[in-house]
Amino acid sequence: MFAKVHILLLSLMLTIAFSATANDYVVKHTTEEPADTMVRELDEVVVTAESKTNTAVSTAPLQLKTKIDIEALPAIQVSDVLKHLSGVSIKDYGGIGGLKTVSVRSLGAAHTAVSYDGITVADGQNGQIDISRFSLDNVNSIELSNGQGDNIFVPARSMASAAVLSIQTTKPTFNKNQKVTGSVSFRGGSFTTLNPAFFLAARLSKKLSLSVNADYLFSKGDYPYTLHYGSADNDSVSNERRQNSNVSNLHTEATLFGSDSVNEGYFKAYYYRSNRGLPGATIFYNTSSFSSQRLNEQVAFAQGHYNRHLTDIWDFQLNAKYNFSYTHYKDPAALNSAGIEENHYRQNEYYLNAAAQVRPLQNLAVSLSTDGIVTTMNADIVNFARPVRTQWLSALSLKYVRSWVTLVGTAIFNAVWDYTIADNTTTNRFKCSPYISASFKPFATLKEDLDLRFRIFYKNIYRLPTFNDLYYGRVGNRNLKPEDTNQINIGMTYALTNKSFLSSLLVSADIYHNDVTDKIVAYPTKNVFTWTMLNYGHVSICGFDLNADIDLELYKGYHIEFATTYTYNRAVNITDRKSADYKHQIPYTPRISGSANAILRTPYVNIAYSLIWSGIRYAVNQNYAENRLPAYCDHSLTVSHDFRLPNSQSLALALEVINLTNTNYEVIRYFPMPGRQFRGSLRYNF
Amino acid sequence: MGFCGCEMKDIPRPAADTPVEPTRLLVLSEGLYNMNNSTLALVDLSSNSTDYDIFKTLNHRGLGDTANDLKRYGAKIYIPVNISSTLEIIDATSLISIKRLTITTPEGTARQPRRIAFHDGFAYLTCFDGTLIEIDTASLEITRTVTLGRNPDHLAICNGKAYVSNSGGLDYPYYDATVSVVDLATMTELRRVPVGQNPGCIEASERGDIYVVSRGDYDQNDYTLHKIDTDIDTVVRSFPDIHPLNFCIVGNTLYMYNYNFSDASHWVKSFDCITDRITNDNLLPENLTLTTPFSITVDPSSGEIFLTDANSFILFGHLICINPDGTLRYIISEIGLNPNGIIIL
Repeated sequence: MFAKVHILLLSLMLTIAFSATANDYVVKHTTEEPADTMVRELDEVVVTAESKTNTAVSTAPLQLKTKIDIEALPAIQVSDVLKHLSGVSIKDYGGIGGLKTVSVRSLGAAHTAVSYDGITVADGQNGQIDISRFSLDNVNSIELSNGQGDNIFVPARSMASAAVLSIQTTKPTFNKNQKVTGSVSFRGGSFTTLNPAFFLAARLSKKLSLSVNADYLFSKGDYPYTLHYGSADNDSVSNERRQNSNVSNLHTEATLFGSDSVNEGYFKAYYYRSNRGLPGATIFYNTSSFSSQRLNEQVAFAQGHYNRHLTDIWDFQLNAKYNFSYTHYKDPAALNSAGIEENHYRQNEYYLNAAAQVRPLQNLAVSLSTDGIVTTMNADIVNFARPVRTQWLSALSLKYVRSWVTLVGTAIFNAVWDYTIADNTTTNRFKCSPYISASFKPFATLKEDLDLRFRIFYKNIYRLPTFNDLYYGRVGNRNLKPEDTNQINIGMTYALTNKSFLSSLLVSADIYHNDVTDKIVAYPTKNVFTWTMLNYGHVSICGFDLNADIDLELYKGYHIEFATTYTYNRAVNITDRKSADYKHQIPYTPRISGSANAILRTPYVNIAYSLIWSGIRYAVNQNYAENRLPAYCDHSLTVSHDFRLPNSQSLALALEVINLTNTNYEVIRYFPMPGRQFRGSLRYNF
Repeated sequence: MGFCGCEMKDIPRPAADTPVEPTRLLVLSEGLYNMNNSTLALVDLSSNSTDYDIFKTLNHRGLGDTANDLKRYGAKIYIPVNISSTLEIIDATSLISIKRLTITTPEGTARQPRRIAFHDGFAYLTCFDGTLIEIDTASLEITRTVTLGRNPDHLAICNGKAYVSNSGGLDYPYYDATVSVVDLATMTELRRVPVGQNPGCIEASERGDIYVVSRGDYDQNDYTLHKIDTDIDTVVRSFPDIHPLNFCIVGNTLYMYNYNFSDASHWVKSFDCITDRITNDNLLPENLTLTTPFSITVDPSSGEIFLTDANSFILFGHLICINPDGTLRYIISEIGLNPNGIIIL
């Protein structure tokens, strides 16, 4: 009965998508941007800075870290890179295996969509993605967009969240006559961290290529830390070692790429398995209290993308994905009568998207993108609801581009049917969410090389209550309303390239006001896996993000790059005027935070220094001294060198010292972060 | 950093407005799970001063995670700390720690102590791992252990026997429904008295009866008071019309409160343990609305009723003092996170 409904829905959706592209022409063309003016602007920019300059053109704040940037950061996981972006707060429970979620501009992690090669990675259970899952071995770029990106020809789902984190994996490139390319690497470091990886790509034909990669990450994670039994100087301390923080992750992926003059696409199979300890909070006088809880996870998905350039003005794409995830939580020391607490969770997601874009005028593009999503979940929890969520999401977008202005507008229609198998209840939700953005280059006519732009966006979007929010045992609440967000951003960007020794300069400053109503906040208070639901009601967020990137060429081949971010974020609870936490900063949200990087690139060696810092935060609602977490700074140093070998082979060597000053700090209260660590890596490229 | 001027500053806690009287109170707050923020506050009404964490001030370390009980016996005060799995023993005058007993199995597994009661120079401590532990209050050493039902919680001592509520709370929703009777001379379990699902608060009246409340699955209509005759160790009477969530007994008067988790309604009543009838059905002062009543204590000498209010659990809770006639005496707001016990010094 159910399956029938789903199939009906999917076919209905497809019919609509196809009818939008009913006029079938086949003409070759591959530029993605709708207007020639745009293409010309990109051409002005030197090749090395091309992608960076894109971020200045964007109508909504866009931050990009390319492979080159990432290599200069002390990063082993995607989360390490995100700490260097503005407006982002990472909830990091410490260690490689510790949960890491990303919240953008205090909206909460569930408002950040994570896309992997263009298709959203979703979790119906938690709503937020643990980004500790993504290794960096095969990552080509990481992009964070507030609001949504300027590309309107994408799946509707990647426009249907308050912020999007896009992870792009490496697409193989081949030199002339090269049939096979790849790399083998090994990374090792403190606390018995071992990380071997390989990447292999083969050119199968003129149109087809195949890549296979795998990486394994093991860490014992038994790092030392100091436990403070009070915040006063003369309060007791004890020296401890993190227990049950070990992790063993395996990730493997195979992708088949195909393209010709009109068609482009890929098919990817992905598998991830993780076995880790859940170290829990470090408890006074009982630091081994969480020494045996385990979490086993498996994620397998297959996704495909197909893009066809139908005519000069028509483009069409299809995206599909099937995702299976399995989580096994075990506490073998539970004090219940079984002496063990154990749960198995299984989720399936079926996803299909079809999108069409038309350019009726040279400067105008219109797209319709529609997604059908079915998510199911089952768990061996008493009275588990067994939810099935069917979602139909469509986005109608418009984009207008001239040399001095870019305008983007999107309307998202979302229809959701939540059904519970266990007790046969249905909840329906329908909603329309608007987005509008613009970027202006006002002085373009006065001075051609003055790249000063102003930008503005408004987005309204909501997030659905997750399965945990709705149905999870005692904490779940079926009466939860979706969480609604409104974002307004006004900013400016200034870009400069090739002015004597200044290779490039990119400055962006944005002020924003966000408003979250009916806010559902989930954070783990029992352990990192079991969540407690708190309904904050209404949060008002005012903030300021500043980014500055400077690249100086000191001498031919000698560069110094500086990149800094600064974030001011006032996120206060305004739910209830009479409540004791009225206008108090919401938990785990620093008012001020930032990062700084300095990289010296020479033909012999690259040296990078990086710093992340955060102001004080409060672990509980009220901004009292008792709830305060101290500010921290984490300094790191990376030294690397590429040895060129014959036949375009190379050997890359890097040494890193992370948390140079051995600072003992916490992002989440009583989840200590590791102190000073050393890592070394060797990569052979062929 | 040039932007440090934008940094947040701690907001001070509101000052208490209390009558000047020679009362000193200790207020225990359990804090939040996994936050290591149990506190022991010292309130001195004569000088209108409060140290929100006198334990930390004096001992230079926090109490730990989820302190569940606060009891005085002789010259010492005992605080079982559940998640830290310790029993903190402090001097009742100086409030300085005498000993911190680690409550673990011989293999080192945390037993998670909950509540404590005393008899003939010995302390008896319930532990969530299904045990009752005996501690010599002179040597402060663990002497004997007996295994009981599932997740023992509250206990009361009467007639040389300990009556322990086996809550079974960690088997939610399959609670235990019994009270274990333990002969303290031999430290053996005599029998398990069936009472009702999820037994909680249990206390003895001066006359020698045991009263216990079974809470079901926290639906307020499930809360039921039962009376156990300690000669025959059987429930002799249940009160299906009275729905207390929690109570305390002074002499032969039982003071109880109700809290309905679904609509936050609540009441405070007194009950006579001789006649087994309600004596005052509204001890809550007019114009006083509690958010979440969390504990009740009565001063035997003055008859003053002390209620703690856990507020929304994540906001600091309050201490409310009510006169014996049900009028408001004073409120000390924001005394701690989830205040759950007091001692009148």
